[in-house]
Amino acid sequence: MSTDIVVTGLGQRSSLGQNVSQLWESLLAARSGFKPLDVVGRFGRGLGAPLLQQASSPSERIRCALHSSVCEAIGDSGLVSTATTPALECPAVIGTNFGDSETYLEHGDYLQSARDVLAEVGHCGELWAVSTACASGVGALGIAFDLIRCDGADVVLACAYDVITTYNYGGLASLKALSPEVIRPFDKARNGTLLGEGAAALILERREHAEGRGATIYGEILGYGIANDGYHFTAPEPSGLGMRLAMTQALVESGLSATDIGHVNAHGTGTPHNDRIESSSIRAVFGQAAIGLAVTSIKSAIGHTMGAAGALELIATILSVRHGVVPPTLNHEESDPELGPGLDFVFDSPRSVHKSAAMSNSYGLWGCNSSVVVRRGDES
Amino acid sequence: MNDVWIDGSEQISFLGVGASALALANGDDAAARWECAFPWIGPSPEFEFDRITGLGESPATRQMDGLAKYVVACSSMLLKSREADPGHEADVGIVLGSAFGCTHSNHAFIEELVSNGPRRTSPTIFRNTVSNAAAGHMATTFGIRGSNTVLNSGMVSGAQALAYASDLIREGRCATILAGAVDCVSEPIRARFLAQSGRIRQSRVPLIDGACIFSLRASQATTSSWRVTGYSMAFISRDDWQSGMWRVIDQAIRSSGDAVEEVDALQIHTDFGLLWIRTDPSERLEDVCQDLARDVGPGPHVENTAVPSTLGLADSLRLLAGEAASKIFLRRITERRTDSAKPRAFVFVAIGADGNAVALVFKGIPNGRKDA
Repeated sequence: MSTDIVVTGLGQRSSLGQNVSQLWESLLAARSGFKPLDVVGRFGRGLGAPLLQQASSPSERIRCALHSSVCEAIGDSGLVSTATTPALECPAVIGTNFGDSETYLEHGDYLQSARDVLAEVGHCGELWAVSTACASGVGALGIAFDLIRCDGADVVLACAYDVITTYNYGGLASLKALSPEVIRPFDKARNGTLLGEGAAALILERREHAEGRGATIYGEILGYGIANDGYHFTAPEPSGLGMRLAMTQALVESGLSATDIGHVNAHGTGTPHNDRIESSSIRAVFGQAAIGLAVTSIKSAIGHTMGAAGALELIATILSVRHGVVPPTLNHEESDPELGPGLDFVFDSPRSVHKSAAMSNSYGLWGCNSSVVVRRGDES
Repeated sequence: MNDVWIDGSEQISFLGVGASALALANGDDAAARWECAFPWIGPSPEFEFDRITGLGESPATRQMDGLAKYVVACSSMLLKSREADPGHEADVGIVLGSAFGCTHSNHAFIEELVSNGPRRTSPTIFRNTVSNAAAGHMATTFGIRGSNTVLNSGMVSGAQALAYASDLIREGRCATILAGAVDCVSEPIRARFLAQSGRIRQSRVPLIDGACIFSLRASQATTSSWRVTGYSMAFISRDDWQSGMWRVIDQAIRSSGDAVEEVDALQIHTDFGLLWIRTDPSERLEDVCQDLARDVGPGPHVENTAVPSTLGLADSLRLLAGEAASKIFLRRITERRTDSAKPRAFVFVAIGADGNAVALVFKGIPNGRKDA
């Protein structure tokens, strides 16, 4: 089944590069963006995957990452001739978990930096600001998808961002969710996540509109699902009910069967609970199709970029189906028998995939679970 | 595509507790109270969380901040009044809009973090600083497992929440959604608002804390007589105020499939609202829109919470349905029709200080027909 909602522009900025090409090349080369964090120096040693501009203030890093991503996506889409002075009248949907949380008590606007960036790039359409915690990237994508599907928009800019601050680093440290060393998703020795930062932007477009102007179609969004655990602030519901609901909704909406999905770009935080419950949930949803299903987590390379994670990982998923290759999960030492049999975790080096569709999972605090199914752009 | 029905609403504010408080509130008294309380007014003393929710003292309730308590109490009333038990259904969702989000908890967390460092900072406070915390408390308290989203798009966030919730129901993603506005502003935000008061002296609407939550359903098995039939959003420039206003209204009506001539009521809400109700069948809606937009003037200049416009909407839906209403947010209402018939269609527009505008279209079911 085709929704005819396609992706025609991509942009990103993260620890692994200043554009989408650099990110993709680095992911396939199994590079890692982690280094000691100056930003948390007052609280002792800390590792993370920061932008190059780590020394500047959180607001400056938001502006840098978001501006760069949005301009890249707009330029990439070919919607306007230059990315510096367009009059973008399309709706914009911004996803963020923490926004300007460290400074907004001063200026009273949680979205000040993002508003400034959109004004700078000439955006003059409606604005949606969404938070589904660390699943905010997919939350933004979902609203953008529905704006085209239900409300007649031809083009929507969906973007997401978050940067590492003393605020969110301190918060996650207080939850004891951070690893003292490296992030090892799906490994037996996994012991926590590490933060990353960045921004990602996608141009979603009605296929007819995109084809009418000869745009490059990177992929098609076939469906998404959002469900809540209704269980706990941090801990996933033990049976994975919310995760299963989100994956099932996305799969049903896509009109595909589980066997059509070539790989899952997992949430894969590297925490003991998440990876175990996500693995069992994937097996439950995919059934027999889970045997040999490729599963990866790029958080091992770029860290947990919080509100940006869902959008950055969706970009990686779209590029995977476009190029037929899945980037690896880094830092693997020993397989974890607790994750059960069947799933084919893509450790250490890239893996070729031949199926044209994939799923991306993104979860957040307060039990937010979301999944998206995408397909190669030329497969409708 | 499903129809979207309004199944009820509840509120907690300075006007009192529950939808019925809107009927009992005397607009003049309430306006005098907010004048005294400027720049901020919290909920009335009737707001007693334990009594309203019956949840009592528990680890879960002790961990709620003010924002969560407003919205959990409001939802509790809504679920009780609808006799609806969301159970663990995946097709019940939550969409909340908040202009300022969890500022109280953010402030408390920053202070504790700076004083104690992360190793000695309570994760209990951090949980309430995540911007979807209030919706998370709702989900865990009531076992709601459908879509759960928070919108932080300024003072139009409540209207935006209703718009997005209507999409989710129309698309079949949820069968029921609790959607609306909640805010609980901190002292620094109040101080900042007061510092800008020179620019808002004309309106004198203070920052308003509280919650106003609607229940939206796909099912027609409801006692409601309003449907949400369409919406539109746009950025309206101050330089293009009147024509921009008409564009967003016209687009919303088109999205609803209703005819412009069917619109018998129009409300534009900035800091306050102007409500027009058709008295002359020959009046053109576009002309009415131009008049209202001119009279309400470009604005607002300073962001309020998401609560006033959402409360104003709940109040006007009561008024237009022939029920008692406070009318506190209405600076002007045109004369009621002599036959007191419910409007065929009602357009409500909320505009934020950033120029973000949301127009919602409601279809009125003629009096006496609750299940049409």
